[in-house]
Amino acid sequence: MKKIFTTFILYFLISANVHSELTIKIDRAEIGALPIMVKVSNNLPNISSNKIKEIIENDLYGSGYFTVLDSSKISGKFENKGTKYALLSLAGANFFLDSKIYNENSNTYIRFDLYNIIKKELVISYKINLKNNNIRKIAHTISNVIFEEITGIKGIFDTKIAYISTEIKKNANKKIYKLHVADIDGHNSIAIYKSSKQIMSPTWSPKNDKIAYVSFENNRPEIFIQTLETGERIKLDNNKKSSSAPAWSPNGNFMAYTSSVNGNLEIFVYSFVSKSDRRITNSIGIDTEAEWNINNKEIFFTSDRSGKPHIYIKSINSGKAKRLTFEGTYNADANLSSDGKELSLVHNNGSGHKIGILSLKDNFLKVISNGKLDEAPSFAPNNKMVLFASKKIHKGILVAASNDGRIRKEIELVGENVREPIWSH
Amino acid sequence: MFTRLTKNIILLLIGITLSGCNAFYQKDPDVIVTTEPMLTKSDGDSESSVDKIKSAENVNLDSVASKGFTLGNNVIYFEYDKYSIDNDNDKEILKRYSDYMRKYKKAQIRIEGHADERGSRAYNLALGEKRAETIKEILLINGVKKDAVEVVSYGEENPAVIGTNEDTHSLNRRVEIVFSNTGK
Repeated sequence: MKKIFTTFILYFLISANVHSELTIKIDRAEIGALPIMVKVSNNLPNISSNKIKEIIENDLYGSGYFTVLDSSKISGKFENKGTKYALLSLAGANFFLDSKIYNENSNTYIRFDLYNIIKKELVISYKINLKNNNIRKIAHTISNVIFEEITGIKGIFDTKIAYISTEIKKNANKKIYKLHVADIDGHNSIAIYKSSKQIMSPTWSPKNDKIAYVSFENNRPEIFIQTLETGERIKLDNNKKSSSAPAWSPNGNFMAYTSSVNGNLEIFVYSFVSKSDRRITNSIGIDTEAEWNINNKEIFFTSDRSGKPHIYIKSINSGKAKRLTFEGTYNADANLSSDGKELSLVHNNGSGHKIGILSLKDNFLKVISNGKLDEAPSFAPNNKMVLFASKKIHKGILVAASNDGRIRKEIELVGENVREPIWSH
Repeated sequence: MFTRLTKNIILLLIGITLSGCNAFYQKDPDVIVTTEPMLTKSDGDSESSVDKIKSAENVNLDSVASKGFTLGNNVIYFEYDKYSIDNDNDKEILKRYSDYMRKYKKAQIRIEGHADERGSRAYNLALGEKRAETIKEILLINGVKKDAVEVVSYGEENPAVIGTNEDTHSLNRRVEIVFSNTGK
């Protein structure tokens, strides 16, 4: 077990027109992190090269895979390649990102060259037109390219999270629920829906352009679908008085959800194509928390048909459900990795509710969190981390943790409890 | 809050002191089928349960409004991850409500299901609903009209008491029966 010995706190101040302020605390292992140096030079007045540099450095450091070296120690132009590699090697760098912002044919570009200092070679060289692109998006794109080139793992620095926050208005003696969407680095957190009634279970559409969630605005749980760009909201037209736990199929054609039939909680699938729905499960007790398999033909779900909550899989067309979890007394809220190989879930083996990862290949279950009230896990789009909700001295926080213990990030919202995070696709 | 907490603890203790209760599971609800007039004395097998019934008898049913109106104790508690009920105290509460609902045909009730904070929120919402549905089923078997009963779950969102130990968790795993119309 690697010893996590460095704590680094990054405070991200959100731009003035957004209300929320997320803080991210990073605990990470230094062992095995690759030393990289980032340089961004600029002669143009209106573009902040420091900002781009800072975003790239934060992305790379926050990934847990890199240590960022202070580039101010290396200044001026390198006389020749040999000097460059020698100086950077002396500074301890394994990689060097050399970027430059410049004008060409009345366009402004950023060119970035990635060097492998050990091998003494240029790895990649790209340029991006800065026109119509915001600085944050460009910086995250560069981080993604560098990260993927060096580690072979898909970069996720431009992905988003959705989450629910609650705030107690002491003067009005009421609770305000908000559904937020934010960049994964904590920036641009925007409340897309607010209510004095409970909202829960947010989930992204396959194209990340809509979010479905449960709202109690009519004093019972109902599923709503909100389009992010326009803010348009519609209620899922499934002819049920109450419905909960929405789950979009990967192809976007179906939504699975939970509703009660004769006193039992069952899973249904609504087709956006035929505008009709059908019942999938039929058992006494609770069947809920549907999660689609990548083939669009099966669902994972939580059921207490064996006496305690466990995860099952079932075809939406026919056949019996097959039980997948056998360890512990509680397994619920399964979330599938994008490659379909693993489920993250809430697991209790007698020491509290923690986050586990279940391999669907060999049924091996690995616990990756150490809280007692951890819940709502979802995989990062590259499956290397799991985002979940936890409690820290009675306050609801979000945690993103890698399954190898390399990195753990705690995400908090000042003055509010946060919960039910879900990573975009 | 403290008063309510104290009350809840006392009621819980009353439930615990009942001994030798008949099993009273969701799948065997006919054990409370009754045609007796409302609020009759129970043949409770302990002093505590007799006291409880007496206190319920003292409710003046003709002078109360629907808001906040209860027939004495209106809360039923559940074991962790369970939705069956198995004590005489709960049996008596449901008897009282079904008797009342049969007498006042226009009365409407809302059965609100709750769970403690542990585990996943969506599962807890389902668990709260299943608890409320269990209570509804028992009331229907006892002659209450289906249209007079509404079921809703709040999951873990509206705890009766705040806290993270078993004492508070046990008070939060509950169903509350609330009148939306007293029927008078």
